[in-house]
Amino acid sequence: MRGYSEVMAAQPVMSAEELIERVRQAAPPTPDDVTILWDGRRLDSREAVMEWLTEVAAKRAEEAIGADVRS
Amino acid sequence: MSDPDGPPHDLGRLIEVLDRHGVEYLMVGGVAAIGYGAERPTEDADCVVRRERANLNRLADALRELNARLRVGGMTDVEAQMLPVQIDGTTLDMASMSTWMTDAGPPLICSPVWRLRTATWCRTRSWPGERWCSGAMGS
Repeated sequence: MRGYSEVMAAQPVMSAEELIERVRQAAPPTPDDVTILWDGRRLDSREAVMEWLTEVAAKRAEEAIGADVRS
Repeated sequence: MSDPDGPPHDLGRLIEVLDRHGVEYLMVGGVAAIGYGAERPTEDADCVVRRERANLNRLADALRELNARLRVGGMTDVEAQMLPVQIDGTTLDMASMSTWMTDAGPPLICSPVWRLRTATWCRTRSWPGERWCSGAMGS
């Protein structure tokens, strides 16, 4: 089995079509495949997501005010 | 939280939609490694995207076309669809790595980086539908 290190210097060994077919039946995701924020928080619960969405909404509002000031 | 009954991974559709929306991105991680000959499993499609607002807006357009849902621990895909997530450049800019379920199957993991460095670490080929690299550096 070849790992990352052995293939770093290699050229692609298959066409895009072959790659797409190889990936088609890939395993399902694992529970830790979740969004991670810049400060390291993981969105691993509904509560975490809702808290983050509040921050996103505040940022969006801040950007809208900034856009109004510039125009 | 695995969904063995979910749709098959349609990497071709993911790439087609990202390309059509003009997203600047590179496929990395397991998909890229397989393209370069690594025999390893993968369960998602990792990409790095240029962290520039117009590009993130284009990525948001592509994600909306793919009916993207945030992937959340402890929640099913159906439950996650009910979350009031507005997919736009602001949302994408506020996560260092966002994970989305899409109608194309595999979780699409997007990591914004300030710059895509393509000289040494990344090799991309320009024919339509193929865009992968063996590594990516962002700064």
